[in-house]
Amino acid sequence: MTKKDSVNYLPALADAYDPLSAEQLEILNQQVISEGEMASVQSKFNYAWGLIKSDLKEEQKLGVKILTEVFKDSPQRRRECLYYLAIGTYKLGDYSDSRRYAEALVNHEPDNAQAIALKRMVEDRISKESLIGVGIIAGTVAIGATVLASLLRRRR
Amino acid sequence: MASNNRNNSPSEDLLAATTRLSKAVTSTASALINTSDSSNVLLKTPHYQKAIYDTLIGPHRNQQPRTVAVKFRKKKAPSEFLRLNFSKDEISYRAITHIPDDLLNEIPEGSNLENKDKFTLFQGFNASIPQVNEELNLFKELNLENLKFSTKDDSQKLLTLDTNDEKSKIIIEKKLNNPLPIDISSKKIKQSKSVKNLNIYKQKILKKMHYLEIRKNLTSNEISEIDAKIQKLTSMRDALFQKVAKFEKDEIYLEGFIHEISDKVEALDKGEVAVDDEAEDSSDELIDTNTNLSTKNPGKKSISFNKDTIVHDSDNDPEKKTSEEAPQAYQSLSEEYDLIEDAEADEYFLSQSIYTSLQKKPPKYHKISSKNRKIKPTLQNYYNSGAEISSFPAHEQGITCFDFDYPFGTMVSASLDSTVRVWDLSTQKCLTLLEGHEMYVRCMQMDNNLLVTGSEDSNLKLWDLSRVENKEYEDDDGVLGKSGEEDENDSDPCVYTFESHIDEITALHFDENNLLSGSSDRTIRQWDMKTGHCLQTLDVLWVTNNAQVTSPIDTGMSYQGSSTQNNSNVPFIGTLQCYSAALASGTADGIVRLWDLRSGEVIRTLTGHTGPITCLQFDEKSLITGSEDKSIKVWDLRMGKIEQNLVYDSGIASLQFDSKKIVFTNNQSYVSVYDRESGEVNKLVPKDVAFTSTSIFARYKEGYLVGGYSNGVVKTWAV
Repeated sequence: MTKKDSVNYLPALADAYDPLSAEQLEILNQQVISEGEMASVQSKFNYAWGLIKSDLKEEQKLGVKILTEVFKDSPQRRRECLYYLAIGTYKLGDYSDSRRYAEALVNHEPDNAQAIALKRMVEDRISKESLIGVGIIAGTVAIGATVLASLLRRRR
Repeated sequence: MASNNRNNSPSEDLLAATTRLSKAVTSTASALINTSDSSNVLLKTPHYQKAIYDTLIGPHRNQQPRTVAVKFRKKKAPSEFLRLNFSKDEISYRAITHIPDDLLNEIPEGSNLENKDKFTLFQGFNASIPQVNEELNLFKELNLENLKFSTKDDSQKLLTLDTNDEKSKIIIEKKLNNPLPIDISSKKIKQSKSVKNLNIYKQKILKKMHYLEIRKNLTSNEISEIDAKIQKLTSMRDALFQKVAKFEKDEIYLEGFIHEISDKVEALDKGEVAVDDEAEDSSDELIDTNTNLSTKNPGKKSISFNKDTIVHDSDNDPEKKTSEEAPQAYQSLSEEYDLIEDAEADEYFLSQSIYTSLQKKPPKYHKISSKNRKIKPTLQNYYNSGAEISSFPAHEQGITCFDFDYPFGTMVSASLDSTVRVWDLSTQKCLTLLEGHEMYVRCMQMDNNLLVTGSEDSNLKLWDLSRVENKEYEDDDGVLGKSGEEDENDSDPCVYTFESHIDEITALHFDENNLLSGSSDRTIRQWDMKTGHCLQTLDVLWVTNNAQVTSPIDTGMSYQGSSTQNNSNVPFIGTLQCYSAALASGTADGIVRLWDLRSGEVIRTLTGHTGPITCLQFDEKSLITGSEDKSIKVWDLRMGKIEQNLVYDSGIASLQFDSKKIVFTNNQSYVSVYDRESGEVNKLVPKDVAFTSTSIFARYKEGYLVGGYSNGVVKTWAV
């Protein structure tokens, strides 16, 4: 853990790509297990965030699952959970979900610079992909048209 | 199907593709949901089905304008379509992680995330990581680092290992419990002479303190959040509780009508009502009641019905009627009665003369049978065991006795202030006063709507409480004014007065039509509740003297002894209970006598108590007695021996038992509940700590306990 983090109240996107060691993660997991049904929100979040930081897709998914649980269980923590969820889903590639969360957060905190930045980043990502998507479709349509045209021409 | 769709989608028109995709997904999802795979129980619940639907199709399909562009931009990036796979895992993951729109917008107002006073979970995470690292370092120090942590199993092994190795476990715990940073010890700080080092220590400790502050803050936030939740849940529970209470009250109210109707039908079928014009009218009304409950007032009719029967019965010979109606057991009793008649001719004629001069009518009452009661009050089950449900001042002076019909039902209480009050236990309101006794009521028993009270004025009175209750309901409907103008005699709840005793009534018990009363005139009388006749008189003193001559058992206490105690307000006949022809009585001489009512003789005496017996109860197995000698004794009825002897700090005033517990009062501020299985005594203590009055009397039914106090307060508990 870098020292600057303790100053920030929300993680930067880079934080999500800085995996913990397996041992660290396991201790966080054990913490949740030892608390059993009484697992505190903080312990659950610690484990969930540790999982999201992981490189493994399955672990990230589990992290998002737990975060969703925290979101549902703890209304007081919903604002920040939206942020973590946005990052988690972004990392998983679920950009539309990520965008939903980021938008909801910005709606509630229109002045939160970090939330706005996150939202913009997700939007950029989606529109970038959209362009590629449009390109693919345009390409396929073009190819389709060509094939069709050639077929038609051949018939004549 | 799913994989086909995935391959084709980019090559087709996008809108069509999404629609088809959605269909495919729903069908895949439903296929999954419909499989009987037990591991996917989650997916079968409607909640998750909806969640899946929302995730994959969108909850408000038709509400948004659906241009290709909007859909494209709003919903999914193309790469997401490409990487969608429709495995079970993926779908359940989607369902679980989906947050519906309404929930997404349901975010409580509060301080912004940028607020510096409140920490975020992320800050909490960062504050926790150093601790995690410390723990890891500890394990490594203990040479456990040779384990590989590449898989979860191994990591778990790491953490389970320390529980096996006691020594390392102790070291780890010791170190973990020490809040100092791991590389600093108090020894180090004391011994260090280097300013530089000390400054480093200081920095490290400050950092740790900062982390602890964050974690403390976050944890206390969680507590306040849980408090808020508990509060919300409590109020939700309260609201539901009120609903249950309302339903139950309505049920009981309606059930009253059912009993009334069925009792009337029964009476009509038996042909008890003479078919004259008046009766015709009443049966016509009955049909009306059947067909149109809401407009007719059943209470009024019940009274008019009774009047009819009273008139009818008084025309007949009451003796003849009794012999027709009385069950076989009582037929033998009345034969017995004939025999006794000679022996007690004088007294009989006296009572007969009083009877004929004062009371021409036998008691007439409308008995509601409890057998076909379907509604069980359950409200008391929603309280914690031992919780005080209510507390209200019922009388100005000490409670002497009371009885109630069912939890949250009707209670009748008597007090030294010489009043008898009828209460609605659910509202703690006094419905009415039962007036008639000239002195205070010492004992009573209630069976559904029937109540018998025994008073210091040496009379017993039989009351029909259904008349009182009807009054109350009319009051609720605002009809009281009308019914109040009707004949007073019809609505008088006192239906009969048993007067033969020449001294105060101290104990009574009735079952079916058999009423037994014990008086300070040292007699026990048996009454027929149908006719109001005294069937026999048992002279306890005479029997006692005889028994002391004939019985080899030394009673341990002469009658003279009990006589002195009698003067100090301890009744001679403290308690009695009958069951068919068996009668048990507890007297001031500490002896329990078991009587055979057919012969009028004592068939067994149980000795053991050294003080006056104040209360007793028996069932088929055992008899339990409570006495001024501060003990409760459990007797085995078959062996006639003491099975259990429970001794307490003060004299037992009242008790009641069932197979599981004995409830008793022993002149303390609490009511005790003795668990017959574990032998533990659970004290029901008044909620108000300053409450110092002593409990006189306690009764319970179906987990609902009522206690009466010497200052006139009545308290109820859930047990």
